[in-house]
Amino acid sequence: MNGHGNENCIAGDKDKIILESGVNETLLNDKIVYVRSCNVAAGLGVICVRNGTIAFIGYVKKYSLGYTPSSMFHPLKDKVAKLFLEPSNLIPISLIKGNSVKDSYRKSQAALLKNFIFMLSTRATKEQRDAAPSLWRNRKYQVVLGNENVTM
Amino acid sequence: MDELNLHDIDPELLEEMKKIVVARIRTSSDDLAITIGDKNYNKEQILESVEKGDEIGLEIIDTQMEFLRDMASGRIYQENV
Repeated sequence: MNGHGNENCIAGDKDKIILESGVNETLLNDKIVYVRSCNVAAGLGVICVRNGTIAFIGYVKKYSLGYTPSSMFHPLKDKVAKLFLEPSNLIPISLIKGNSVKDSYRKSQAALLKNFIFMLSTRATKEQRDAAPSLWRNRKYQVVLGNENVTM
Repeated sequence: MDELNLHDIDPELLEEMKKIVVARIRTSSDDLAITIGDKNYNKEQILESVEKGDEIGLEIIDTQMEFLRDMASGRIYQENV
C-alpha cells in the first residue's frame, strides 16, 4: 500500500482513511503487507500483526522522498527519486517472485545501502548527495513485523 | 535505535542544532525538494520550517542530526546486510 499515514491509519485517494486501528485492521488478517506510509509500523502495524496479519513491512518514522522539481514532468528521469523508489519497490517485486518476507526486506535494505553509499560518493550529483540523509532515515526505520519467514 | 526527542530537549541545544541544519540546507541544491508525509517542501520551505521549529522543521533537524551522528560514529560504515 502506498499512501499517507500516521501511527494509527493509512489513507488512500484524496487522503480518505482506508485502514484505521481499532476500526478495520482485521481486513489485513492472513495477509502479507508492505506499507509505504509515514509511521504506520509504529502503531497500526503492531496492532495488525497482533490481530492476525501474517507479516507487516513498513516504517516507524516519517517516510521521505527526495526529488528534483525540474524533473517533475518526467518522473522516470528523476535521478534522485529513483534512488528512493527502486529499493522500496523491491519489496513487493521480491515477494511476488516468491521470496520470503525476510529476504525481500533484506534485498530492499541492501539496495538502499548501495544507493546511500553512492549518494555519498563523488559520482553522485549535488542533488543526490543532499538527499542522502533522508534516504538513510528511510532505511534505518524500515522494519519487519510478524512472521518474516513466510512467502506468498 | 538511538533517539533524541527534539520535543523534550534543552532549548539552547535545539538552537545550536538549528544553526547546523540551517547551514547545511543553505548550501544544498536549489533543485532538490523533499516529500514528507503528504506535502512537498522546497529548499525555502524547509529552511522556514527549520527556523520556526515546527513539526516538519523538527523532523528535518532530527533527520540531519541523526545522519551526522551516524556518520561521526562510523555506524554508516558498519552497516552490512
